[in-house]
Amino acid sequence: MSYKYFVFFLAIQIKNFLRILRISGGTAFPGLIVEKFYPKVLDELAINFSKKIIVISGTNGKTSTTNILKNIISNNDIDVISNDSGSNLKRGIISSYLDSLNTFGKFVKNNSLMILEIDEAILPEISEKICPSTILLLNLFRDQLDRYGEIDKIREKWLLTFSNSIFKHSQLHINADDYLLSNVAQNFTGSVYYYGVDDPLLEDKSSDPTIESNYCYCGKKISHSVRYYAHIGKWQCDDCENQRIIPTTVATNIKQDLNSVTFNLNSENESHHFTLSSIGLFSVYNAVAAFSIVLNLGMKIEHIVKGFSSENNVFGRQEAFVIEQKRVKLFLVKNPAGLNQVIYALTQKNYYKDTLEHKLKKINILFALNNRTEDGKDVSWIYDADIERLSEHTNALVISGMRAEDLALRFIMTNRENLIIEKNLKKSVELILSESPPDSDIYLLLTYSAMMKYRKYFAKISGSKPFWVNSI
Amino acid sequence: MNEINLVHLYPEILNLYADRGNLLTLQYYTKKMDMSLNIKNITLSEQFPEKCDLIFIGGGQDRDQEQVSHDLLRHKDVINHLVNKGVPVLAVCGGYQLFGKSYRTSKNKILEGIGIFDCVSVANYKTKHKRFIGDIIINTPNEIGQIIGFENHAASTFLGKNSEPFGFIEKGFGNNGVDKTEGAIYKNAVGTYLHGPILPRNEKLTLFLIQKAIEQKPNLLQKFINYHDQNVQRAFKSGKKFANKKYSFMKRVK
Repeated sequence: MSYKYFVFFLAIQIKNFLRILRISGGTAFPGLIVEKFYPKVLDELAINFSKKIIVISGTNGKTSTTNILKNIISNNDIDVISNDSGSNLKRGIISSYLDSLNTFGKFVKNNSLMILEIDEAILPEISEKICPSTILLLNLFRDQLDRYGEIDKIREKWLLTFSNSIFKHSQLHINADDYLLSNVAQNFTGSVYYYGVDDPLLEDKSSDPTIESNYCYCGKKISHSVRYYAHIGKWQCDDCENQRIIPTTVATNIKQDLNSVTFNLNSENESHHFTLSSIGLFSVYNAVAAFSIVLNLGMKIEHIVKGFSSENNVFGRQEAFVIEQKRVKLFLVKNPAGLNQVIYALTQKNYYKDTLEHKLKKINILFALNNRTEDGKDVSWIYDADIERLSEHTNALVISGMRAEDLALRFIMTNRENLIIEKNLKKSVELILSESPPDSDIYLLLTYSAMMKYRKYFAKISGSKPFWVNSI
Repeated sequence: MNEINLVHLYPEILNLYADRGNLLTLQYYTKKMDMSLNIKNITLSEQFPEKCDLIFIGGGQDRDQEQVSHDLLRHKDVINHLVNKGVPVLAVCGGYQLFGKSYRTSKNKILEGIGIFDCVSVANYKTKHKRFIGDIIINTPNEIGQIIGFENHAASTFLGKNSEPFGFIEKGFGNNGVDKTEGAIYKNAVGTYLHGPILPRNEKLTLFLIQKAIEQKPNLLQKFINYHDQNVQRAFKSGKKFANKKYSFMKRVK
């Protein structure tokens, strides 16, 4: 057995061991071992999956989009290898590559497609290495500034990388409604496909104080004829020719309620109505992004209909549990744009069609704020989110996590008096269950490391399986 | 009228780092004192308002700072006049740099500041591709005492003879990671790199700014209350505990 196969063999054994003993999903550590002892693994991946790699990046929606895409493609009888539980650093990518090898490290998945979500900071480096056939860029929001520095830096890096001619045979799928991505698309050497949303009724008239400064590269102002949320919408530069390109894959006629969102997908004279069991406009963007890729892989809307499952809530992203007759839903929140989207989706006025007077039913919230490396060390972002609105619509409020004091203070600055601070996970869950009225909805807003813990706990008390069990 | 007039400079451009939390805090405290905070947003090419008891300016990326630096020079004289009269200022990060004498961006473009503080700032000074990131604790030599926050900047700032540092580093990097100083203070104007945002957890600084703003309106002086909020003190303690762990680091940003 050569050195390379020995490293693979070892890593695969460790991965199986972790899964069989239900210690973890083995989505990172086995990859880390290979990265360390056989760094050429990415070159090998690039050769074995040549012209069959799809990469997905952007601030929000990577994991959900990856899962939607993976489900559609695999339900159309194409085998897919993917890091679909969100392990999106180099080690996670390598760890998912191990799934395409047999026990002895030999590549056996000749007919498979690889779908990778990739952290936005390492996207340039990985893309140059593996030259994906398809690149999907979702959006850019301020996120974990302590990790990435400023978002302009990410954007400059993307621009530099994707203007390289090595991508001239690749496809770029891009959110037409995010102007921050526009010059990456304009300088891309391969073919570009735009997707987006077209629904003037969705206009967000509130003045979101945290939107990115809306300035074009030419230095003049970007205006929105319709702004959906944050800086996302129909945009154009006041001065130069830079403007939103009309997308070819579009969601229209969007309708939201507290449990689902529906929309029409339009592409090349074809149209179909879809329902998602997740909430929020961001969920529509994720779906349309995935559809854009599917439609340009040579498939048709009928393939999407065949492969698409409305139940696509994955691993702590809008995952639901029922406990003591109360419905509990988990939301991963990690930056102001994402949190605001969740807040707006949960506090819309027309939710309760059964109440004649359009009265807003209040929601119950458990919010846990951690600041481990994966959450971002800096918790200042909570001041950029619309906690005022959340507080106003919240009945029972339990605050938890390592930085509970900071989060509680954020709510107190909205003049809220009624809140409970409980740092113990089990007690915090007991409290939100006992404080919420019978037959009510409870929403958990959790940063990444908190989500991992709460999800595990809810899976345990509700009796559902850990995410990797199905794949053993 | 029981109101303090706050001028917020370029809110839609210099808004990168949750610094609007500072305004929420000022609002919260002035309400406790039965006063209101009248916030006037001033953006590119607008006139500086006549009523001004307190000035706030936040931070942004290099591109944003280039946007405002030239425009800000129009207000150089009026802001200097107000500061010399004792009007308090809170200038954070990019705003602090532009309230100094000059700022050289990472692309070597020199932006002229309005010179409230005798300091110059240089992006990536001997620290190419690196940023000062992490929790920070500083001690001010005045009644404001100890301050906690979070810093994240690529620039180094060097104070001249005519500027006092706002505080001295206990933990973290501050102005340049070398001379143990953080920020600058001149009369009642405070320039600092501290985010977090700085005011919510640092009650004494909030009270200092409000008190100095009220001093601009003698008829309101009896309104000032040395208000203490236990939630703030609890968050200060917790934040300090985290800051004292080994979290500060020089980070390479690719």
